[in-house]
Amino acid sequence: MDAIKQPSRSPFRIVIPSWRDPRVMMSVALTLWTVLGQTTFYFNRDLFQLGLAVGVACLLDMVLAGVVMRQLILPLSAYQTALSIGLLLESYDWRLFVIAPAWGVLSKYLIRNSKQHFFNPSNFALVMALLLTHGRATIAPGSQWGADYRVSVVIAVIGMVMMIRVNRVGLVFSWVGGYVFMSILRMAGGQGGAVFTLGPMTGAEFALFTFSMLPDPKASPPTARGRLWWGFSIAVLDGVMRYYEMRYSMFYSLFIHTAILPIMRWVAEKAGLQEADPWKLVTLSIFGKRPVSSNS
Amino acid sequence: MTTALAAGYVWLMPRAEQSRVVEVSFVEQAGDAGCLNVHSMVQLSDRFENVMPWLSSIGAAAAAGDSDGDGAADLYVTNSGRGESNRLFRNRGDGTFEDVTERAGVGCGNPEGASMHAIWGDIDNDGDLDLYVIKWAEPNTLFENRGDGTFQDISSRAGVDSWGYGNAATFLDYNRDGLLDILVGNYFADVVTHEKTGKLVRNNLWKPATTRVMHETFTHADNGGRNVFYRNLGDGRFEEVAQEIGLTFTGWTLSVGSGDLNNDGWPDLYLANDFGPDEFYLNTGATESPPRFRIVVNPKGHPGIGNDWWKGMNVDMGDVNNDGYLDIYVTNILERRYKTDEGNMLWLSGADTLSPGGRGFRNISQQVGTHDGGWGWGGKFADFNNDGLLDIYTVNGFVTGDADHNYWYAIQEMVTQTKNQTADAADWPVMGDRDLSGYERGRLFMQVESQEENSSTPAFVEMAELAGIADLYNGRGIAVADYNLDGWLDMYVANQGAPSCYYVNRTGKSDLRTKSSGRAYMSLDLVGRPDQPVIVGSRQLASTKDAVGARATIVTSAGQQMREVQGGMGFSSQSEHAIHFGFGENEILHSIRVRWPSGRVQDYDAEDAKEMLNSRVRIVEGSSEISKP
Repeated sequence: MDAIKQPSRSPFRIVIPSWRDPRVMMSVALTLWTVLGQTTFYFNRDLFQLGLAVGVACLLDMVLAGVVMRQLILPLSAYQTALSIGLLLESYDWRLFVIAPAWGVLSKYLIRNSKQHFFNPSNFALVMALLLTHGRATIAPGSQWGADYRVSVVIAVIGMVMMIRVNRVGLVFSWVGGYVFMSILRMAGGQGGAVFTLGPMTGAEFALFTFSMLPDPKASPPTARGRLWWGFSIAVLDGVMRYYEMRYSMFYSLFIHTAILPIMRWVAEKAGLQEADPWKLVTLSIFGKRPVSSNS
Repeated sequence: MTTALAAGYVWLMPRAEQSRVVEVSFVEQAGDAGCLNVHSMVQLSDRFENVMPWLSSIGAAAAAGDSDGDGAADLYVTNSGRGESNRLFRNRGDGTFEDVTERAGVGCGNPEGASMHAIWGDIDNDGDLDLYVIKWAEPNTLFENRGDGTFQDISSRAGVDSWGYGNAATFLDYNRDGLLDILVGNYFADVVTHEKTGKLVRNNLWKPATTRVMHETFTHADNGGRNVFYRNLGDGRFEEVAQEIGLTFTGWTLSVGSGDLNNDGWPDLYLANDFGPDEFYLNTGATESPPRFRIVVNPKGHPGIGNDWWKGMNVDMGDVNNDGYLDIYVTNILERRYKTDEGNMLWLSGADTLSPGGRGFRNISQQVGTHDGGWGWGGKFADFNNDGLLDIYTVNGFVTGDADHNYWYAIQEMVTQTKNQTADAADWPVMGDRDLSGYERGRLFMQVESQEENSSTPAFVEMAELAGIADLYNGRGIAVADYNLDGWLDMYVANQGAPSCYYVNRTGKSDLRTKSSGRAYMSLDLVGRPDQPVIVGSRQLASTKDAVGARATIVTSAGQQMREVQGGMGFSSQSEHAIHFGFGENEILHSIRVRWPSGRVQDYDAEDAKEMLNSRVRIVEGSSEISKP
């Protein structure tokens, strides 16, 4: 994998998302969710840990963007990564909320193929935290995010609007359809009843995964057909792992799939199938040139 | 990237094992001492067969109390199986016991439901301890001690025969009128909606009207049992006043505790709830008459003392850092193999301008090493090595089954679901012979001198295995007392569906030649005088005979120690009423102050204190006489 290579003498630019950038809405939604959770619902999230995660992720993203890409950025992606980690990860150990967001942001810069990263930073951070932190990290039980179907419904509605904007509706449906299919197989295999196998779909953990992590345009296939198979395949692997009682399987399944994403991208590139960058950015040169709007 | 991952891995690597060792030693003697009880488990309707090991996982309880007034703590132990009798073990005075259940008439026998818990208290202030047995699906039973070794069931006459699913209870005198009141914590709801008729009916787990009896969420379930509070009217009767005094939450209560947490002289409450936030109530007696309980909300506006993990199993109170304020130990669940890093909580009292009364609590358990208690149940503060510092013993283990085939995955999948989907027991996967945190060893957290100068934060080392605590049973209740009257606190542990353990403290035995051998102790048996009330303003305040809520503070050359008489605290257990102090080898006693619930204060100087050293002393309210029974 290639780290980013940027000509050292390229102009320094300010890059900020435009209002049409789907990450803006996602960030607003995640912020609202966090604030509501802390004030209205029984989110048991530690504000210090959340703040630490946000601070570390945003600062690191800005520093790396400045040093490596010679850009001054508004770190929306890092902000989302940090909030996802802050909401999903659970640990007494504050160091985890330094390490995990740092791993997530670093993965964007250090694990890349050609021009872009392929791991979802939140997913990468969570999986690494689960595997490498000596049992200190866990995913917070979904029920502590309100344990209320209305929370899931709101997430689903906002999520679907965003899926339309980033062209990932098909991916979501293939994942959910695949999950249902595998649940039926698990039921047939005697693992449990409908509530046990299908019930997790109603929880906030599933919703956050489905609408925030899975459809990351930078960490999913570039073609519509590819995304359909991708979502279904993630569900199949998740179902198999669930059958063998492996907890947090959807995070692992996505991780494994994104690890082979470069191959899919290579195939798509060979076939001439490219996807436009979904991020809507405004780029300003700080050396007196006129502002330029672009999708960089 | 590899470097970053490696750096994080190394940074979070657990520190090397502790090097500090504390001299403490126990030997298990339940069989030899004649107090062995093999707990029989409850067996509910077949409709709960898929989760039967779970639902039948509680009921082993033990209560220590000097029921015959001979100065040595006797033991009342529950059995939960149908037709099985509870047992009363009379202490012969040397830490050996005889089974006197039949003669005493306190067997109960579980004809319809199951015994779950029991507490001792002198409800009629006649000088002997009465017994209250808490049950599932049977009226709770209050036995009046006749004083001749026999007991009489007065539950119905006294009006304390509530029917429900009690797992917790404590005696306290919440209005300081010199009469013991009773708080009962219930687990399952007492009524449910009939699955066919839709009507509200009694929730009988032996003849179920529905299988929708489980908790509605894992985090803020309020479909549990209605807690009951009995105010003692003083004429042999009680009235139920829970709603009236502010106890309205219907959580899944597993343990209740009472103590003066803000030092205003009035007993406060802490309720440890499963599947929801714990409840912390402050008694309004200092500003309101008659007193009520006002629930404390954390800065987020939620009930509770701080961020908890919604699996409260046990509450005990003790001044763990000797600052004159009670701290709280709540057990919870920790199982790192299945990534449940939650753990027991040690709430340290401290100044906090944001909290009511200027006192708040912060959980220091992870910091001081007392949070890894496994799947925790009972947990008790006690000074096991007489060094003047409170230690903690906590038991654990949920369901013992096939160690290679566990139920963790099923639990964790159900945890992810939204409200109400966990409520129907029929939806839960079959548990069969699966294990769920079985084979765990209890944890003995011995407090050691903090290595930081002037630190008010305690430090602990875990010593269970080295201390000789080796059993892997699923422990539930721990009754701490100096059963053999040798000046060292012993423990009786009721194990679920397994033989009980009687751990006799051998720390101070001369043959061990330990440093601890030279330590001193003092055991105070406080006796209140309800007939000698104190007029405070427009109020008349009095202590109960068994002095529940009284506290003694001893000032020594090493600092101070404070202990409060408890009316039954800790999951499924009660330690003896007598309060115990330990002192280092060269510690010089300066003074003793006893603060009675009546408001009366008794002071003893260094000479008096010296006289009380290394003995069990009876102090009677309002009397300068010190007797050694």
